[in-house]
Amino acid sequence: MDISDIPGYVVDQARKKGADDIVCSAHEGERKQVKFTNSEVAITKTWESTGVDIFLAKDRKIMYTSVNDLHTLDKTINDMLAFIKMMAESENYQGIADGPFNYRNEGHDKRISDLEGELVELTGQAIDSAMRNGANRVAGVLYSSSGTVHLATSGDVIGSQTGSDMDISLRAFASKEASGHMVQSVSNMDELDPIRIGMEAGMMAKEALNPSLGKTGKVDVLFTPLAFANFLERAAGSASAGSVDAGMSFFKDKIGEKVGPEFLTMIDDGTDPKMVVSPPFDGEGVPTQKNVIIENGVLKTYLHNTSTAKLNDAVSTGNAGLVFPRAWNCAITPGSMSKDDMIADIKDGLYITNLWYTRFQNYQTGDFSTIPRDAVFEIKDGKITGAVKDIRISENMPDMLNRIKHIGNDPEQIRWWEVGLLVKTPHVVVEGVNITKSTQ
Amino acid sequence: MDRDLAEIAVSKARELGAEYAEARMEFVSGQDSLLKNGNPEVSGFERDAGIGIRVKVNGALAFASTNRLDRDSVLAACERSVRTARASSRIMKNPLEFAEGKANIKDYSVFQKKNISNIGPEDVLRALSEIEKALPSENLVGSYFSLGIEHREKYFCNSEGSKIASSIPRLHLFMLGTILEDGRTAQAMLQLGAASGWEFMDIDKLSHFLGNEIKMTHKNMKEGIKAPKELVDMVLGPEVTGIAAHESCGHPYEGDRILGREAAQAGESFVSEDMMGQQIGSEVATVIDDPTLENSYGFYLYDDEGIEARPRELIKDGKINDFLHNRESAARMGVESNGSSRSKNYDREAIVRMANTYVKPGEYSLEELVEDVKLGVLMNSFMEWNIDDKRYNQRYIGREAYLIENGRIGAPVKAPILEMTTPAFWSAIDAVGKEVGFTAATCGKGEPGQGIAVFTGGPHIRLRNIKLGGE
Repeated sequence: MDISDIPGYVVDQARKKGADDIVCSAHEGERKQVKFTNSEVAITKTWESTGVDIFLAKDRKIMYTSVNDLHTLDKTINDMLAFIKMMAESENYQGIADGPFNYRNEGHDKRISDLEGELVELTGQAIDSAMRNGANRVAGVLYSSSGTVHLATSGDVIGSQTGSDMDISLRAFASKEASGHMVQSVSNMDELDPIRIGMEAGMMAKEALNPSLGKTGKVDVLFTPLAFANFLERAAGSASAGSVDAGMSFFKDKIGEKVGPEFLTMIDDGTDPKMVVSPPFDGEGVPTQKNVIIENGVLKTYLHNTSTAKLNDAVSTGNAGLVFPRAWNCAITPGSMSKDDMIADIKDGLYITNLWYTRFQNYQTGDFSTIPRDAVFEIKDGKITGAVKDIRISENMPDMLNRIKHIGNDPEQIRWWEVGLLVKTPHVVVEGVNITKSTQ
Repeated sequence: MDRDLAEIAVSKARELGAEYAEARMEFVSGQDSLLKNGNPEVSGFERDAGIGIRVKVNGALAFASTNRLDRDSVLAACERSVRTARASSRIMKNPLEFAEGKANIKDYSVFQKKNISNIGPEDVLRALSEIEKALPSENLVGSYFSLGIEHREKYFCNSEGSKIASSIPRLHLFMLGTILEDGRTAQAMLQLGAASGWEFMDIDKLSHFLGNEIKMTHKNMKEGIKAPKELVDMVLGPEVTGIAAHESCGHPYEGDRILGREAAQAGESFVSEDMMGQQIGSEVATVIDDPTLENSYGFYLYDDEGIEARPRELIKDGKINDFLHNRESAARMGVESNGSSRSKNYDREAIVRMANTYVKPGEYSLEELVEDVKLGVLMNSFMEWNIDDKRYNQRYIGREAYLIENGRIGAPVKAPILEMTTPAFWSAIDAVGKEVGFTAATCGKGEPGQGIAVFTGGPHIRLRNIKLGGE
């Protein structure tokens, strides 16, 4: 059976055998990676995969599975229905979406799937560029990915989507304690610019040489897009109705409330073809849409699938995952200030270029800490005066969102090891960020 | 499992010009259930199978995986791996070498009193529901509760003659509890796990453990006082000792991290190769990583390069004593691999990982550790934690903690913050308890990410003259 026929087959068979609701997606794809370390290729990797995800509901009992042996589909359906009989009813299950739906048809860059030896060449360009611009060693990865998803549901949905994209992530070191990190994600390979990424990371590393120990206290911080994307990924995650129900959201009970300054507008937009991740349909086949999560500082909606929408007197926002709602991407509306204007506006503060290891003390209150990594610069009277190290941000997410002072005019799409959701953000200034450090 | 496919892959890769080739075929069957606020949200099962092939051509490494387990797809993956390795070897300045590895032939499995293959989704859901019902419900306003079981069969072979088959069951219980007191909430994130049969699911024991954690978290919220601002002695419980052993000893002693191979992802290490033998902590501090602990969550007997696993003393009597190595990092440092190569699944490259990292027990009882503390804090468990990517500045915020005054454990202390450097932490230990406890955890590393099963652990340990952090 051709892979595109599998979802329809599974839906028909499961329906005949008594399932109430069925969602089946079949996917196949290829991914390639060049991983480089100490300015050399450490390993090349290629992945080829085929798989089928099935979601079944009967008498409000729900079960999902993932299989990759396509010869076991009939057995899998039988097993699922046998298991379902023994399950307990889910009070929260409210069904899946009724189609049919029309989906926009977007092209994709077919050249990306053919890349192989070129990936090593592009990696070499990035490494050379970083080394020419201040780095003495470089590490990172270059990815190319392409794949197709076919979807069918018992709600009369049939759809398929093919996509391809590339990511580069490069960390340049000028010394053991001076580094700069840059990333880029594209869906059009002509836009990939490994030379710029290498150059900017190399220059940043050089500027970060000889860092001094940072100070504790509350200061204004300018975050790069790479750094600020960490916070927006958590904000988008907190907007999922699934997170709210699970006690993992700092937006619980805040619909209609002010959660940021008036100039903060945050969206999840599955319809923007310029976003590297913008699928035409969600996990139930509902067409994706532009969801304004925060508008002019006010929390407007959670992200819903059919079940969470019905439970919350809302309508699906086209964000169904296999089980829980999820954002497809996250973007904030840019402002008018340039990075240089924002630096000039800071009297006594920091310029933080990357973050990692963000961990919550309490997901509902939003108390957390995170660690600046790579270049951190001190700003005095509107000028960068030197690099600092060994500090931590110890904060509260809702408070911090309300203290956003400026949003820049230079949005970039960020996705890398530490930020899995595609986030589009400019530089951002937050007032009074609490900085701590080791006591001894 | 058709082991011939793996053998064919290795032969084919050699035929195509690889100087070294290995194949790892894995079959995974698993299931999990999720209760959200007592409601059975969803149950699922997984059947995954595939093969990962790693080759070395002219000193360049390549990895290819496929989950299409037919001969043509496997041979195509071989060709891909050799082709891409050859392409990168052309620009390689420092060809890679592997440390010597003995050819091992072994077939091993974890003994199960109650085989998890006989456990159905109804058993998983029933176990979850029974534990949930036994929890104290008075202040528990939210719960997100999951139980997953998996059975992983693996066959590894390489061009040097190793043939290792393993069969390992694992169980993992996770709970996020939200506890309310006087309009404020606290959260307890709890994990339990083991490489074991279904006998691990002792409902009474697990309910008792989780119930106690919830009660203690509530008590801490309700009665907790502020942590002292002056210098204190800290007594850390096994959960906190374990996370510190994992984060500030296990990770910085990973050979690949020291060599910069994870620099753009999980980071590097403040430890360098030439620090071997250096005093990094007090003489009573010894930290071990041991994959061979029976029924441990991080259990294995042979690593994913076919090297026999053994305990590694990372810190011995306060001195840096050993690093964790696979064959690549070992060769770069001129030593033998100590069997630390692990992967999450067939579709991931095996890299240097911890298994079960713990502080070696000493001779003190908890009472003895506490009795000569004038002013201190006993921190039994933690909430928020993190550490920088060179593993130098760490922070743990206490969930269950108590004031110690004049040798007695007193009132709960609310959210004490231990925020200190790694050498300061290991140097401040002056006494080590005798009873070891372990916590199951999922360790993150690798690109793409490979969350992997580990234990963290140790006994109670005492640290002298600590300045707690805070705003």
